[in-house]
Amino acid sequence: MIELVFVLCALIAAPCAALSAVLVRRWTADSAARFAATVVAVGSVAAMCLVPIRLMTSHEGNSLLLESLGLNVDWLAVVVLMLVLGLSALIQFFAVRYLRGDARQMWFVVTANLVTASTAVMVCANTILGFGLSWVAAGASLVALLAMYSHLPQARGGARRTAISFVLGDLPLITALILLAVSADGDVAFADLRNAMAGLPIPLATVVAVLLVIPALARSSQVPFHGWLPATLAAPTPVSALMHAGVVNAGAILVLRFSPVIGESTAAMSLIFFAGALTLVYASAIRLIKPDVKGRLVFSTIAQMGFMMLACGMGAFAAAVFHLIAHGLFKATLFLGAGSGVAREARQRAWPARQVTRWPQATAAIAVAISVPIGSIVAARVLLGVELSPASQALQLFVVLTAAVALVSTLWTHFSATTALVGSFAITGLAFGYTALITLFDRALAFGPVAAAVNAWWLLIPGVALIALQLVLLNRPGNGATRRLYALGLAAGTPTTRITRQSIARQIGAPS
Amino acid sequence: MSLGVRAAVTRATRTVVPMWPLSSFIAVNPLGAHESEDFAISGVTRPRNAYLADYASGRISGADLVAAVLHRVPELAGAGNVTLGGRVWTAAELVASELVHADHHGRTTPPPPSPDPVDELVSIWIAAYLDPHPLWEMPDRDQGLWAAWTTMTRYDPRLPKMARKRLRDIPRTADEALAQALARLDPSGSRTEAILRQEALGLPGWVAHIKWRAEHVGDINLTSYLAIRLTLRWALDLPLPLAVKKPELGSATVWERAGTIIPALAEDSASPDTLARVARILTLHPPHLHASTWQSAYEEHYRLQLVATLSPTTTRDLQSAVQLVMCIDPRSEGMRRHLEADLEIETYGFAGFFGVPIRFASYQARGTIDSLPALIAPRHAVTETTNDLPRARRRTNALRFRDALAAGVHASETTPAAPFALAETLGWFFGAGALLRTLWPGTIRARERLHRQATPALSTEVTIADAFTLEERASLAETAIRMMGLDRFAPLVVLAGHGSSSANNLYQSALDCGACGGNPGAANARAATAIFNDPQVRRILAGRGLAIPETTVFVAAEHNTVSDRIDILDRHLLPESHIDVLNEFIGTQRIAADLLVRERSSELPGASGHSLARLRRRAHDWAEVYPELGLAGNAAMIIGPRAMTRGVNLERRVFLHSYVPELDPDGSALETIMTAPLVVAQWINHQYYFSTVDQNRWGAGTKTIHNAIGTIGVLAGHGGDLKSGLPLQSVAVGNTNLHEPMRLTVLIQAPLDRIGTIISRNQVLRDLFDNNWIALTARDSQHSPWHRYGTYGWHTDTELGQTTEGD
Repeated sequence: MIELVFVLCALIAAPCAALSAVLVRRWTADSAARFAATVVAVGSVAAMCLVPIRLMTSHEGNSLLLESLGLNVDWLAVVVLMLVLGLSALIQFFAVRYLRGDARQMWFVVTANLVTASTAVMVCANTILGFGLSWVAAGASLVALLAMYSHLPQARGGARRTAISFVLGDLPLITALILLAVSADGDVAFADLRNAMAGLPIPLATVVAVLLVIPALARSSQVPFHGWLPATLAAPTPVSALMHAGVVNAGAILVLRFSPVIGESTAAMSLIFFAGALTLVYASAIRLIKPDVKGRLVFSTIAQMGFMMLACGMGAFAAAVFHLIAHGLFKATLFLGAGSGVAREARQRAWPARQVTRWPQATAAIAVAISVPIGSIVAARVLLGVELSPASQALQLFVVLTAAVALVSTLWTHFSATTALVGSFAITGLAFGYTALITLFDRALAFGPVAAAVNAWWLLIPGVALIALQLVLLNRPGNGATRRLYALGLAAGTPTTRITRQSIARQIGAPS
Repeated sequence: MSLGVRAAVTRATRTVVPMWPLSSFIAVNPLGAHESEDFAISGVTRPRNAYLADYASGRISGADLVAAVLHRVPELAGAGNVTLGGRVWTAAELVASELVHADHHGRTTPPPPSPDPVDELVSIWIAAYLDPHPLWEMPDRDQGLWAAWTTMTRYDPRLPKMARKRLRDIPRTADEALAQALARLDPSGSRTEAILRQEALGLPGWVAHIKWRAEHVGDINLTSYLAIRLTLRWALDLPLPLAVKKPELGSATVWERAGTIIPALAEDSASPDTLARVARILTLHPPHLHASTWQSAYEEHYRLQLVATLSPTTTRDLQSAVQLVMCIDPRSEGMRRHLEADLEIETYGFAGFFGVPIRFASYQARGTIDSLPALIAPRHAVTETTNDLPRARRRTNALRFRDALAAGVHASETTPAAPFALAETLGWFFGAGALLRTLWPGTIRARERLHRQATPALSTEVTIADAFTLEERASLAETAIRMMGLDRFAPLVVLAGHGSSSANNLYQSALDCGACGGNPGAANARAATAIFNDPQVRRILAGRGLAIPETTVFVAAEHNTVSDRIDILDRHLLPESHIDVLNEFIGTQRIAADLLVRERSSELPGASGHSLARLRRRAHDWAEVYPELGLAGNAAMIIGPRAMTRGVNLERRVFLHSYVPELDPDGSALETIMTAPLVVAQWINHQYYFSTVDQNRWGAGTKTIHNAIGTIGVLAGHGGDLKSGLPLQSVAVGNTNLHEPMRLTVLIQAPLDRIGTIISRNQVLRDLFDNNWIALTARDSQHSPWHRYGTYGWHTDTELGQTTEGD
């Protein structure tokens, strides 16, 4: 009962905020924004209270009540609810001050809360049709949110691109859901999905699985749907923060919810893996060429979503959820703080010039950078006594790589006892924390083994591609191939408006 | 050949005003190249309904209109009267009523230029080339823009194959390519300059920044930019952009105008004689002047109020205990007014760089700032030294440690395979940090306190003696004293520069001191203090008749314009004897600061009912887009002794520069003031004016979609043109203006003939005053009447009201 109350509180917060902003005529935008932010904050606190409640009570009885409402609040839902509601509250509090006086502040309040509400309901949905409806609603409200500065041509173009990508992604979803519903004679609960799938012939099951992957790729801005996210920068920073942190990760949520379908199909899992891997490499490359801060953040998000999809494709679902949440917090903070470049340069101007590293110190740096990360990850695994799947272990290579890169640059910049000690302790602590946390996620979310998961060895392909990318960067004078890559990346990174494309196309037809 | 091309480019881009980078934001007049024309021709004003609304609300009165009309067209004073509708109208009143009743304003904003595909194709190359911290540096960047572009554009997938084939085969230098492209597009060669000028209008922000960069850095110039554009245009077979038509002015004839105004003023129809007389009067004030006359009336209202408040105040005989010298910035006016409530404090206004132009670096810092006005080139480098070497070493090590951590995080963000785990580990900490920063902005100070404890503070001195010779220092000091009119010296003289603090603000440099190149004024204050405290300098000054007593000590300080605290710098250099005076000053200043913050909060958006601590927290709040008002509201500049303005509430809208004519026998100080600080104030005023009047054309748009390219500039959204001017949040709150767009009203108390000589000697001032870009009112001394500088020289204000009787 208590759980029901808290769940309802969490789910009602955002729609309540949106409705009140629309209905209360005499409000200023400022008051509406404050009220909405507070209400959503209350909802996020309610979501956080669900954790101790679930730990303490057995929720067998409650689940029937929730199911009658079409909700299923398992650990995945709780965790994502905390993320979405918490981020939405944080961003709305930020926007109270940031959008002060803006003529479209009320629009932001209403549409941001609609996005939050539909995402929250989507993650708690118990049946496939409920999920589908809230999925489409989330897409539609996001397009509305992006139309905030509709007087700007760039904003209109961005909203248009997003709408087209979402429609192209949602049509397969609707088709798949219809197929499933028809074959099961009605709405299917996620818990019964496996049984419903058993009744389908293999080719049809594969088709349904692949159709379900496409909307996930579209919503998470993966190749070939990677064109909409870079075009959405003509919306204010809080909108970008909300989108990059709370909405683009919906793709993984879809894959996880439909894992009984998708996880059985090799075609679908391979599609997810390779789309994710391709996007990861592609977006990482373009990110290196973008000169503007928000553009870099956009392509960083696309690459991170690629990583998330890659993890899904390998069956490391808990790792994908872990990544999704941490990345959401990371990216929201970076977007909100996107204006701090000038202050950072002023601060760093006062630092002393970097000294040239001498050979013994450089070698020591490399030695420390290799030994400490590997050692701490292995120690963490041993001391904490965790058993990770091969996929998770493969993904931990990325952790080792990041730690090594961080340590080597830190020590290369300034080699001293303090730096070495602090660096090593930090890496060790972080490694232990990371391992503990990811094991916790693994245990709590309790995803079963995935039948058609792509073999972890395929991770070598994107890995090698990324190393090749690094080598291209280091190839300083460059050759024809490097130049071609640069030119392609530069052009791919910025969306071209329709007018430009049309003008150029018109000229091809015109006699010269 | 190339010289001709370069000359054509220079001529075509003559009207482009350079744009400083974001890290040292300099306010410039965006129409600076048009200062040689009358403001009425090229200047922009608000739309007519705005003025009518002001007229209805009383902000502009009928008397203001008449005065503005008479100032604009002095001939109207002698143009006789007309009898209409039972009353006698003077010529000026008639013309003024035409402004109210008839719309010949005519001026509409030109339509935005149609989008040009070349803009989009070129802007990403420029942005990538000028990126200050590229993660993947452009191949061949060190060969220059043209070389880099020519090797790579053939691979640009946005271009059709035919274009790419053509682009394989272009000249090696930009000059040749530009000449070739011009020859192809315009074989006759007669429209070269027009084509180049039109081409430079495509991306005005980038063009302005490239022009700045060509002069100050030199790795890009407008020739290569235009060469790229025209070569692309030829390769794609795109037509040249159409010239934007100048907006049509109302073309009503004088008879039509007379026919419109007479029925509005009189019921019965007028005789042909009256019609002719009215028409003759209306001829003197043609329609193209109407808009600027409205604007002049708008400013006249303020000017009259301002002059009225400057009633002569009694000169004080008290020996002040503390003299405070602050920048001419309008924000200083509030602080000076509140501090002078204490009768022992005397304040002066002086340019914020204190006459000491330097390139400054902190102790062993890797970067420098050019802390001097924008038009001067830095020739002296100053840094800090310290006596406490062990502490300095600890500090350097602590900073190196921070640098190493930052480098580690940066490397993991930018190495291709590393960001994924970085997001997974750091994301949690970032999320907690974001939560704290948004809900409790004050906690950032805890973090800063931690940093300060980890990094020992260092007591340093500036190395001014190494940068300037003794003779140079003495002459800098002498100039400063003469310009300020410091004839007697208090025991403590505080030289206070100013700076601002805000978080997450790309335009933070616009809130710092403009006279210091968009940097905080602390370095210059310290340098000037060191010069004035130097006994050798004082000996030389005494020899020149400017004796500074032994008991006088100078101290450097910085006024933080968000918290309004004046922080004392280099306290360790202050002798024991003066510590009590200083502490007393600090106590008084704290009280004045609180009063000033409270006063400012009435205009600050969203600040009603907030406590002082909360208002001061805006300096650390990363979500706050209005940390302070900056120079919004600036309207006038007063050059004269403080006695003119002491005790007057100028509402923080006036630039104040101290000047005492008696201490400046040859007028050189006044000339320096008028050609330097006055011009800086004019630039700032016009930047605010044009950014308010037309945000879309001259302003940078809303800060919420700004997307920075390093620290050189901002884009709005994902690409396109670099944005120039002030953002919306500097001049308005949504649709309500924070800044009243008014051209600068200059008031000077100095001998009129001296002012006249200075104006006639300086082209810049002639242009500004004669062409009505700014207005000048002056008087010889405290008890003389005010004179306005008009078309025919000086005339008193009362003279303007007289009309001759009869026709």
